[in-house]
Amino acid sequence: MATRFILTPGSAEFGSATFPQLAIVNTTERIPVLAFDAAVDEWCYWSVVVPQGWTGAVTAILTLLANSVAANADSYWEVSVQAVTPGGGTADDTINQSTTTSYAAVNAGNVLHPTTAYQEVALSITLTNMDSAAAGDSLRIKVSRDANHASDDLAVDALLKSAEIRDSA
Amino acid sequence: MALLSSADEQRVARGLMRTWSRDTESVTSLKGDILAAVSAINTYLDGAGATRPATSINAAYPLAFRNAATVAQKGLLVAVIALAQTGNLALVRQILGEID
Repeated sequence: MATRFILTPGSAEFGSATFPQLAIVNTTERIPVLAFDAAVDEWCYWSVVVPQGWTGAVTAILTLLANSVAANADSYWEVSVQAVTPGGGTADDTINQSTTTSYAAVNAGNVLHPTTAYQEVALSITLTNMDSAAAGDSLRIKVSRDANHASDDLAVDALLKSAEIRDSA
Repeated sequence: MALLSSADEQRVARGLMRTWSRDTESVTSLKGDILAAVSAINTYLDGAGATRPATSINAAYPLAFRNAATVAQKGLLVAVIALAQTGNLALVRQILGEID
């Protein structure tokens, strides 16, 4: 098991709409987080390059916080991946990136939040759909809170502190 | 004053959740409990316009929200539903922020 990427709020990339707010937890420490809305789906992206030695099953671990919440309050998350081989020959590799995306199917999971305010919880999502990512590929990772999913009943913003991407090396 | 549509009930519930998130309030209700409370108070206030209610406002909340919400949260919920029932959603937006 090897950590391949640590995705932080400061390095997130945002679309033109429905993006999470870059926010702060702890007025003294000023810990950056991404605040994902409770009512409307929001998402953001990270751009990375798949490292050499990349192998096996891939997992995303999302580190999440929320203010004190109801017992049994879950948030529901989706992680999707677009892998492009520069100069490669598949349909994915030849897209016009100015106008087109080619994400693989989403990988999803939900997590129960602690009722204690701002206590961290980790959600592990196995990235079964990795768009055939290989070493050297240009990778876009999209993280989304599916706020209107039936399994998402957390009534406040869910705060993403970081995300780790692991492979099986 | 008019009964809110279910779409407007959802707008009010969204606005309340965002307000409480922005104000970093403790919200010990589930998303569905808030929407159910909005719907119940929408019906209660609309009925109260014509007939004296048989119960208090507090008794009109569904049990889960009644037990979980603070007095201030219940007060804001009633206030914005009453305001929304006037048809002035623009004013509701000024108070709660984006509700869509």
